[in-house]
Amino acid sequence: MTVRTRNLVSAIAVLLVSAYWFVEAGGFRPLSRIFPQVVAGIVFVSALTLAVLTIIGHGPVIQMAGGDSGTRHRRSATLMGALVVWTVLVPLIGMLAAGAVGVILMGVITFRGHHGTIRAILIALVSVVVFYGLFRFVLFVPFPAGVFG
Amino acid sequence: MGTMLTQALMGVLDPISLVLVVLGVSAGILVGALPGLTATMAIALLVPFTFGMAPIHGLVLLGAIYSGAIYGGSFSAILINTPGTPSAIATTFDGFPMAQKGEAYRAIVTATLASVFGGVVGVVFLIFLSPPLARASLSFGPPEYFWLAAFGLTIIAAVSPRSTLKGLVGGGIGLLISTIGIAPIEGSVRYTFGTVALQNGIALIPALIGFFCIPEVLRMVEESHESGTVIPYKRQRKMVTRVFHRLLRHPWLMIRSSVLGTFIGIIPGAGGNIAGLVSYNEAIRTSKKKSSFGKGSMEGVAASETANNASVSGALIPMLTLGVPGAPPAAVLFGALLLQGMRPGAELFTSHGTITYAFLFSLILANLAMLPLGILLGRAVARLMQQVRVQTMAPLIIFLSMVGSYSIYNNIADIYTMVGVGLAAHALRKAGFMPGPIVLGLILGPIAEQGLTQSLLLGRARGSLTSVFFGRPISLILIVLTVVSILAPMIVQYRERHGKGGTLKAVKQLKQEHPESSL
Repeated sequence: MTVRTRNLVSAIAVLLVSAYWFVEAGGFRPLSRIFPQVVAGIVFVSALTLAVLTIIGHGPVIQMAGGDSGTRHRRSATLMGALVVWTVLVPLIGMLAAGAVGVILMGVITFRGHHGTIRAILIALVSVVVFYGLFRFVLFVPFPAGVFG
Repeated sequence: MGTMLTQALMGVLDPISLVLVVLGVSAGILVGALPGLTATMAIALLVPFTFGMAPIHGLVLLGAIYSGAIYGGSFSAILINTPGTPSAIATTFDGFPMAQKGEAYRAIVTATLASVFGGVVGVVFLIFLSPPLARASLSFGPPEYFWLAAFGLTIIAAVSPRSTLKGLVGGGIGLLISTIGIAPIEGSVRYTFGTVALQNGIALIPALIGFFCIPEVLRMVEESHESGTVIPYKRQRKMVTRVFHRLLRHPWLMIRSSVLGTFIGIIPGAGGNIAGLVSYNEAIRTSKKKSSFGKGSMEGVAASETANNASVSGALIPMLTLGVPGAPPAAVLFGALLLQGMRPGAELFTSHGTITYAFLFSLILANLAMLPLGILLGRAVARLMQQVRVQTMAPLIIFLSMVGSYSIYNNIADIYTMVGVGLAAHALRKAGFMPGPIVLGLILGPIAEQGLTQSLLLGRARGSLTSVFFGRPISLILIVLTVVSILAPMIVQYRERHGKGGTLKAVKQLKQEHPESSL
């Protein structure tokens, strides 16, 4: 995605969100609605300016990371997916087990192709157990246990 | 007052506080030295740990980490030409050339002494400026708070590194997020999408962890580059004394950089990177040996490091007195204060005076501790920089983010908030909206809304909205500052387009003259 497309897509997304915020506020009581409507109005106008500037070729420059963008985007999407899976697993199988699954998932995505992948994942797993123990047995945090509870 | 200061001093000199200062500074140096890990991330991850501690110990630890991390950024700037934290950008300009010339240890000692000096001067300003400013905040009414929030947002947009407009939109997004939940006046339930968990609004600490940890982790894994080659160095006898004497010959450089760093730190959003760059620019502009900059000038390293460490305390001044953080780490410290039941303002220096002054005194200790710790741990840190690939810490940082978000209120919804905010922040960052302005909007939102609605009520009661919003002297000053902060970037851009300078003219000129340097 080019810088121009990114600017345009983000400006349109912000326009839509601010428009929704403004319209939705119409249903609130007068003093509850004024601030969201004022802010949504300012954001809408700013996003519109951003869109117009981008269209006429004067949009702001975004610094893009170097390297193979295709690989980077794939890695990014996979990581975000792994993070969502990890989050969903927490109430189902508990913080510790979800942590272990999450660390293995993210570890494989992160370290794949690098030297010492298994060692890095094992170190991360041990660290997870240590920090879990610290919070659970020293700070007495009652973590969700899921099906193991 | 005397009793309060004595108790504060006792509190900071108790063994636990001293150990926490040493641990905090050491951990901070390591975090700062590893490119990819940031001071904000470290503080955000540590806040939940400090929740169970006595407030004094929690704040001492967080303050020590903050100071240590800003200083630690100089190690990677000098040894691998990569700033460990954004604050150390200007340190790379001369630090790395010094290391290339075989003067790595000299550069590190310079950075250490300059950081200690800047840090201590900054804390002195913090100690003397904060109480009167906090007292002055008592004369702030709703209109003043409204204009203060408006000024905070326009100034952060003005100093946004990529684009003023994107900074403004980012701040606006933060304000919109702050309206989620039950309205402070008249109590309408807003933008909760029927979710009970959102009725109290977005939980601040999980949101801060989401904003500052998740995008950083995703970026560090996504970019997944190998760490640079660390230039090795050996400690040399009497180097500290030699550098100390050399710096003594440049008192104005040190004083100017400290003052610049502190006052730039006060400006919301400006932070250590701008402090370092402006101070470096001034060092070149006023130096008789301009040509030595960019090729390994000790004065260049000193200017940058003095200013960025002074900016740490500068960023805390508006946060402690007015509730407006000067930099992202200060925003997280703001969250930590709220978590401990302490609200920024005059109360911090009266009812919570013992804790607040102990925190301020601990910052002096933390800055002083950087001298022995930096010199002693330096080589070990350099070894770790060579051996540790920060990507290996990514899964652990995610786990700590989840555990930390959950453990504050033992609420699983806070994990969802943290992850949701983190993924959204990652997408926004890719579109050029940085987390700093959004977080400031999130923090200033409630202040601005309360100020606006209460001012409207006051105006209706008095029969004149104009006199309430525009009729008070502090409001007028803040309005002028707001207008200036909107116009100033436009004027700078206009002058740059017409070749009439710009903010960092000397740095740019040097870059043109020495394209081969690391500038």
